[in-house]
Amino acid sequence: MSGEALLDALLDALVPGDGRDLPAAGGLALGPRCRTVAEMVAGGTQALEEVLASLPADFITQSLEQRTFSLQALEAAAPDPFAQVVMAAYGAYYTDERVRAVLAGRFGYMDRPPQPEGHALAPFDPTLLARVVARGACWRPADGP
Amino acid sequence: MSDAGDPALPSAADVVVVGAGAAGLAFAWRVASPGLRVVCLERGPRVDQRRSPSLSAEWELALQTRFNPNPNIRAGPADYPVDDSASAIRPAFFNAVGGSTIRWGAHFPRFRPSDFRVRSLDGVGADWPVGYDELVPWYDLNDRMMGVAGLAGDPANPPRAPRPTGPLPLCPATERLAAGFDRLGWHWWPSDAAILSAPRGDREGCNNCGPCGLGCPRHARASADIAYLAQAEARGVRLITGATVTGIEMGHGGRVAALRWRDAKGDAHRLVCGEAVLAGNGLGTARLMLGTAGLAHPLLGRGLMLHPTAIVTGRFTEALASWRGAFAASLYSQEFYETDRSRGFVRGFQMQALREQGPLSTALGGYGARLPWGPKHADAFAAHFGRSISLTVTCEDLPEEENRIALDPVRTASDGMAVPRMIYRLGENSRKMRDFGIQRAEEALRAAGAVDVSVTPLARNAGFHLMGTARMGTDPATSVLGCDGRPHGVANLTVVDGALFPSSGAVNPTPTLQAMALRLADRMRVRLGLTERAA
Repeated sequence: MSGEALLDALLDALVPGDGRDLPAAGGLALGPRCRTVAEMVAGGTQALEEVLASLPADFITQSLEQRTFSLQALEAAAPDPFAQVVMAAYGAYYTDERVRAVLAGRFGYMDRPPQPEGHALAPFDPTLLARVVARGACWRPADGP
Repeated sequence: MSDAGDPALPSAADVVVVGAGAAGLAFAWRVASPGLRVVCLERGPRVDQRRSPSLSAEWELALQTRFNPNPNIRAGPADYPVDDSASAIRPAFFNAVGGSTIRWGAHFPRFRPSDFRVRSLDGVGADWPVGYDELVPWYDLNDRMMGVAGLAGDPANPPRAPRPTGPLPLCPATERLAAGFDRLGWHWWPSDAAILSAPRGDREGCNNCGPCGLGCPRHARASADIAYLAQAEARGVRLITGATVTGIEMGHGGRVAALRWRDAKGDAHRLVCGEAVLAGNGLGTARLMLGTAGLAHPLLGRGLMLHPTAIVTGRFTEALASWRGAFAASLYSQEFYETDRSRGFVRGFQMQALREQGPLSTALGGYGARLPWGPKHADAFAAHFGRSISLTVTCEDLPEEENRIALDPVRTASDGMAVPRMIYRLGENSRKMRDFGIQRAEEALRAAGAVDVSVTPLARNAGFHLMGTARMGTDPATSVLGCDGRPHGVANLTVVDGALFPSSGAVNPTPTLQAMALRLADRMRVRLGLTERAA
């Protein structure tokens, strides 16, 4: 069992996709990317190795349901390292350009960085405040009550 | 890049400011005067916001890694570890020129008048030795310097000067929230934001991109470096980056003689100072003072106040593109800000809208709960992404002596100083307030049309407002600092950051701590015999 295959199996269990347009993480071969993301935070690599080492020997051949059960037990036993691995998995997945392309098509999300384009900035509509203003002042003076 | 390799490093200065963040840079700019040698020592680097990660496809990863607000996760060269094992809330601050304003959402509210008089009005905490009205000129000055978008006329706050630029707009999601507040008859108002909504000087206006916490390449979103640094340097302030102050050397007669500091290479330096000014935030300043024998005080480090924050997220059926717009500066409600004893607690809270930021931030839950991993993940993501909006329940915290910053007796950080310990539990009053606030936020989101609501009762990563660890007051028995921000009995040391706060309010403390820093700079100028400046 190769380390990369095990990591792909882990990623598939964490982000299995929806069987439609959102792909499973393992199928995208995001293992190396996940390792890179884990390295970006203190203790991330150690957390990933710790979780991988704690997986059952037959994790790769387990069904998705069995893998989920295995990971739930692992998360309950060591929540902090597990959280770091989930961050790395989500980080690898949601910054992958193939996933971003799906998000653009399905959710209308921009397939580009926030800057320099940004989004249109309409003027504030002051008529929205009519009811609040009509209530009048409601702050408490410093001399009471 | 560090400035500390410069062979012409000063060995003496009239005023040395420790920390180039929100308070430190404001103070340095204000106190500076021709002929006055002002040096600012900053352990972090300068940040070129023109090259913000928001220009990169990797921007969401940057939010989680090198721009992560938690120094223990970020673990950059300028960071020091904080032992938070005994704290319900984790530390969140940034070490760089600009300090935590590099990483902030730029919500820019003022304290309310009652926040300065909590003992007199409600019998808790301590009154400030200065009141709201007295601070107004410095609030106004700071608004002009930082560049604020907003709308005067909020009925929940005292009248104030017109904001330098108009308010940032609402979006489909926040318009629903506003309508929800209206249906309930509750207060709401567009946020004052340290974000320009229109060009001003050499800064562009906001283009609604969203992730303000990565720095702003347009310089629309203010940070202390953008607002104050160039003008401070033009007045002669000398900024040295990569400069970690490691000790305060006390001299005769209760005076600070010098500051010891190390450059980025680890070389030790000594800087003789006429006046020392601490602006390293409520944690860093306490750490430095606790390590100085001559500054011992029973309350030093104690009374740590945070803003315990719940995150209540509403999900809507419609696609709202709620990732558009400044993530933390849209609208707020102060309906429950003041004391109503029938609620079972004193003081109050603010609800503040939080937008989404992007896909990864949505999956990780922002400051709220992470979306589930596994078979339910994709559906949860699809249900939330672009369709959710959150309200914070930002609670005023009371100063409880057991909540504190302490020094680890054994562990030393790489900067040579003791590792600070952050010890914090949620007090009974805050807990009741938080629980009440969660119910109100749920009510507001339902009134706005949310089809379901999820609650993160305590945002663990929200330890970004560090206050009260060296509180000011008139009585040396109940306060560490006097009215000028100086430790009782110490003539030439001034604290100008959140450490000095006697009370916490229920809003972002940055405008208040900057106004205080400007005011304290003016008081120092008077002590030094310099020309008094009009605010």
